[in-house]
Amino acid sequence: MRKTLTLLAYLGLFIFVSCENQPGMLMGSAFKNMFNVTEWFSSADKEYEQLNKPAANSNENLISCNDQNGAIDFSQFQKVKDSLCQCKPWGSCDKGSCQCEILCPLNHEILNRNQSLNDANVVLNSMAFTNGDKAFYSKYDGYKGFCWGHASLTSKFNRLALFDASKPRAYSNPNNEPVDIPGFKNLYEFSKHPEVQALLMDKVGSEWSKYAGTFQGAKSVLDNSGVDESESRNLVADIEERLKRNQQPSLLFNNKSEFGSAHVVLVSGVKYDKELRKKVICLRDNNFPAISHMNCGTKIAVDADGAMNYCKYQYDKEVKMYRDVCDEPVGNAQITHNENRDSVDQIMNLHTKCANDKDCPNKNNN
Amino acid sequence: MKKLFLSIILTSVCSAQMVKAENKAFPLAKVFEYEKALTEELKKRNPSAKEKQAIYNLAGRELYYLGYYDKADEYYKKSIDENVNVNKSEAYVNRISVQLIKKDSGLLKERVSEARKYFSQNKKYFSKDMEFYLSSMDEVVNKKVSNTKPGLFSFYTEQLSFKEEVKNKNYSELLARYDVQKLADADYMQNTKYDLLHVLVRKKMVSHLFCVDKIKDYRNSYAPSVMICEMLEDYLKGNKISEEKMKRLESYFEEISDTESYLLPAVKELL
Repeated sequence: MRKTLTLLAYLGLFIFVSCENQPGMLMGSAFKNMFNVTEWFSSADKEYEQLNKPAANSNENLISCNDQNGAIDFSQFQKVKDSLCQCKPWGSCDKGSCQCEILCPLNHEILNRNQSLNDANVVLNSMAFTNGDKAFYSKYDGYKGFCWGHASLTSKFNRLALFDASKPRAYSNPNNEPVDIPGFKNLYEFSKHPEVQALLMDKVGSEWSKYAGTFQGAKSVLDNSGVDESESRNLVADIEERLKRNQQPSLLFNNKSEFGSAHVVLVSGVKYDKELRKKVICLRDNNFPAISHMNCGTKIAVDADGAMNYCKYQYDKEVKMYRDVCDEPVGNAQITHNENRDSVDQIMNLHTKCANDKDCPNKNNN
Repeated sequence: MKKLFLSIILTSVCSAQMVKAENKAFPLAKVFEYEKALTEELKKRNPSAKEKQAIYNLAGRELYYLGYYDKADEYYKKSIDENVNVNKSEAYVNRISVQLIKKDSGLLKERVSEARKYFSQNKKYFSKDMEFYLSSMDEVVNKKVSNTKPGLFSFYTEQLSFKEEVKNKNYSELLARYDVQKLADADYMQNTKYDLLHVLVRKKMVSHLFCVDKIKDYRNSYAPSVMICEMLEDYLKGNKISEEKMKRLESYFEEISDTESYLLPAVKELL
């Protein structure tokens, strides 16, 4: 399937090349339009759509490994329940009891590894250090640092790292592949250790270099023309869809008032804020300690006309209390250009690992 | 001697090696396969220069996204070499980006110069964002920070500039830029750097090291933030910094990561 998808992308190039001289103009113009849609189009965008089509029923029903016939004796329910396995992505069933398509799906469902990326665990799933060097570069509070790298690396750990505190410690970091992190319970504990932290900071810098310095990165950072109502609506819908797909996507937004200032964060939710009386995009903002991410502590508020403002929960000297201060107008906001490519590779690599673990067919080899 | 409890997988840290790291979801063998198919197809169809430029550009983009930066550079170069008057901004900028990733300052300077020459000859493509980008890159190349330019690369250039200032021993100037009140929330290395600068400027008159509180649960760890902090403690107690500790720090920079190695000469001033 993977081969087909990428070949399609390349074939598209040939058809684009030949569309003026060859039959098959319809297909050619479709590909031509595809290439004209966005300057930063890559085959990953199409692959991402393919992999995230509505999934087969992910049945979380408990299945009896013993294939029992007849009625269950409820007085022995606990014993029976203990013998049941879970038929879901990464579930405890083997392929004899649960289909491989459910255990090891080749789509966004594979990202659901029960990591519990909810508010209660946000600190444990975050880095123990924030973005940037606040003590030294304090004059650029809010838009300074290697935020893109910090967000990207945090996301990779959340999706791909398999922590196991019971084993001897070792360092590793994910590069879009699942990776074992023995000796540590979670990302916070891991990144708190100074030996690890030094290496992670190197990695944050190199991740930033990969994404921020590109043509695509520069274009998205430097476009601060503003977001209209339909763009805003589409963005929120896209985010909501990705959140349903077990992804906390990386979002780039920039400061409408200051050309060149941009920030990249992870999105943890979308909700209606009763106090602000508008829809808000909840952020895991790496400029602040992870505890501030709880209860949608930093957010982007979306006005009815599509305009967006970056909000921080902070002490307001005028009213002498803590409140959301939404005074930084957003010029442009979009899912980062690397999100689809990274997600596609992560999904495929997780599927490979799951297939190996469960002795299921690896669809990446088809 | 090295109390390193972590076994380090170097290929995941060194950015130069990252350039060679394979994308397991799309192995290099597949890239060669498609490259061969592309070459054969181009021979068969004999597209125009404009079409070839577009194909090479797209191939460069795909390869960049897949993490094969050297190959991406190769195809972006092919796209630039096609003699057609189209907007080649992406190829020029992403060739700069490849050198940023590889941290090759010589080639980075060359690529920035090539981009400047292109835009000087093709002013219609020199948009406001490209102008901002290139002036940011000039700062990166020159390691000089503009006080008026926020965002994008400013943190990167400030880090480069910090290193230059340390190399030039402008310790007082650097120290004056710190906001001490923010050190409590800062990470280990930020605290250690501040303390190092403080000791270099005020020598044994320094009465408090911020890093000591930070590292208290990680004594003797094989991390520069801890090693340098412990050396500063020894220095302030009137003890000679041991050669063994210095060698341990040097080993770290040689074998694990050289990112903070520019601090070594400064630390050695305390010997």
